[in-house]
Amino acid sequence: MRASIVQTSVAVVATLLLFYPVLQIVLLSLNKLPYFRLGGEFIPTLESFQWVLQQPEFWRGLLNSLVVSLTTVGILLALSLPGAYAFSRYKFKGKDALLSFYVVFTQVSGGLGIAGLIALFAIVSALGLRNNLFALALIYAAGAIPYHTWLLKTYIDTIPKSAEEAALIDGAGVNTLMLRVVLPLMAPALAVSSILSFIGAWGELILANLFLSGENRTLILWIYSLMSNVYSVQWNRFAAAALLYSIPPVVLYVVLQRFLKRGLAFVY
Amino acid sequence: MRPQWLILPGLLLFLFFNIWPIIYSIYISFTNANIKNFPPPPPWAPEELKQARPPPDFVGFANYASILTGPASSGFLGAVFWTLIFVALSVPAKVALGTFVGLLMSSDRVVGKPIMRALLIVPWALPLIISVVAWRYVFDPTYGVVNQLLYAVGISKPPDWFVNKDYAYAAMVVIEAWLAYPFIMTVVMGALANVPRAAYEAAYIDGAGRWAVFTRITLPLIKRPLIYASVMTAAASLQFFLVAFLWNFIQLYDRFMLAYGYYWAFGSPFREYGLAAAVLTMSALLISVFMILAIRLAGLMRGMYES
Repeated sequence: MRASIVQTSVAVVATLLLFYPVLQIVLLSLNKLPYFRLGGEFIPTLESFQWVLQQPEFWRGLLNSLVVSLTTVGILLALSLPGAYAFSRYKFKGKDALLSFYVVFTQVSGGLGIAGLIALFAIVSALGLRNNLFALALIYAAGAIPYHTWLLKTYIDTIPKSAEEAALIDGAGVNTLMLRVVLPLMAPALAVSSILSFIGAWGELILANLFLSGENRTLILWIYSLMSNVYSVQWNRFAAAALLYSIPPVVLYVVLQRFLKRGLAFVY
Repeated sequence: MRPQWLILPGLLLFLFFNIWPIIYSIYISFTNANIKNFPPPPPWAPEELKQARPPPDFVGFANYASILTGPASSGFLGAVFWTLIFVALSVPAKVALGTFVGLLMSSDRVVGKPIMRALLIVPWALPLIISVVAWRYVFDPTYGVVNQLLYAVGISKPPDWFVNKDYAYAAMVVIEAWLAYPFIMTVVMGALANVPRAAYEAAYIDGAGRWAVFTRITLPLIKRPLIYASVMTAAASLQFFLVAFLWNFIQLYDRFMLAYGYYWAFGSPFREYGLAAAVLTMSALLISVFMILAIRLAGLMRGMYES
């Protein structure tokens, strides 16, 4: 079919308009002036990025964010994978009901999360777990269990049982079966789960803001504090901080797209 | 070993941090919990501490009376009303924008799709806080492109999109449409990805016009996935909170029901946890009713397994 100039132009204009908000932040971060105006003066420099990299809060926040996000991924996989395996391979009472409940919860988790916030605040306070990075990771993992159990279960469903059966005939125990047979086959799904939960933990603000303070503040809380005092920090520096903060999730997102193209199209 | 044991650790953690707080919140909504008596000391706290800080009193339906017919009712019912208006405005905007872009990105006649797709998916990949920052700058009264355009077309006093309540609310609709179009776009592209090109060519050879091809081939293919995606995204609009929180919470807290509950608990100096819990319980109830209706009416569970 022939290319259409009209359709292509419409697509280009639409893309530029929709990408403009992001483009403008990129240009702002590269501008020597603390503002960017369409058609206005633009002097490219990396000074704003240098400023960010000199802030101790940036590095401390980065470290805390990495600790929280990686711990979340670890806890989540350790708990979701066995559950997903059981859901996929065994029949038991209440299985369908629980799975449906998990799937529905996924869609309302944001709203219910806010609804339970007051009580969660009290529970975490009573347990003395406020301002604890690992406790925060535990809470993030808990909220993500339904979605990831379902996600991994859907993937295990596509793996033929024959490999496991062969291993069982060879006398492998449950642990060997899991570590040597199931896990290697699940690598793509585990990668997708890790990426999604890492991005989720990296970007969470409300709980982090409620529970963390001082030295334990994650990177998003630093961005948030800059945002709350936009008059005390120059916009171009702020834009640079925001972009540096976005690099891990955006890179992971690109990696994720690769996995999705390889047949894991059920994620979204 | 019974298979249930494999599910139990994850299930218990989930129940403890996600379901138990909701049940506990319902209980709090029947008390006068506030900054003076909440959070209560834990059961294992020393006796003196427990006596110094008595637990909240049970007040029955007083908080619900307050938000439904009493002093807080105009605030709460207003927030519910504006949340529903938000759903009604943002869902068509998201679906129309996402379908439009999705159709363009599925068209054989558009050149350079891979790079455009990569750029169009960015709002999805970007952390939400960064998207909000980007839009703050788009709507900035001095430097933002929106007011620059308004100046250019002769509006000498363009609005302040942060301080003016109604304009801030309008900005929320625009931002939500921008945040969600990649989802709709992906759904449309997915639905059209597996159509054999021969189907279109055969239709054209048979003399079908473009409109006929659109209504007879394209539309039936994207209809079911779009209905499913619209319901999903309507649920997201109903739970809209974080962007308003980051934009200008003082102006927007009474326009979204979850924001209104958050405000009474953590956003105001009053810290009326009991009242806030009532607001949030009612909101959760509304969201749950919506989901149940969606599952019944739109056959949502089937959609979930198909997609």
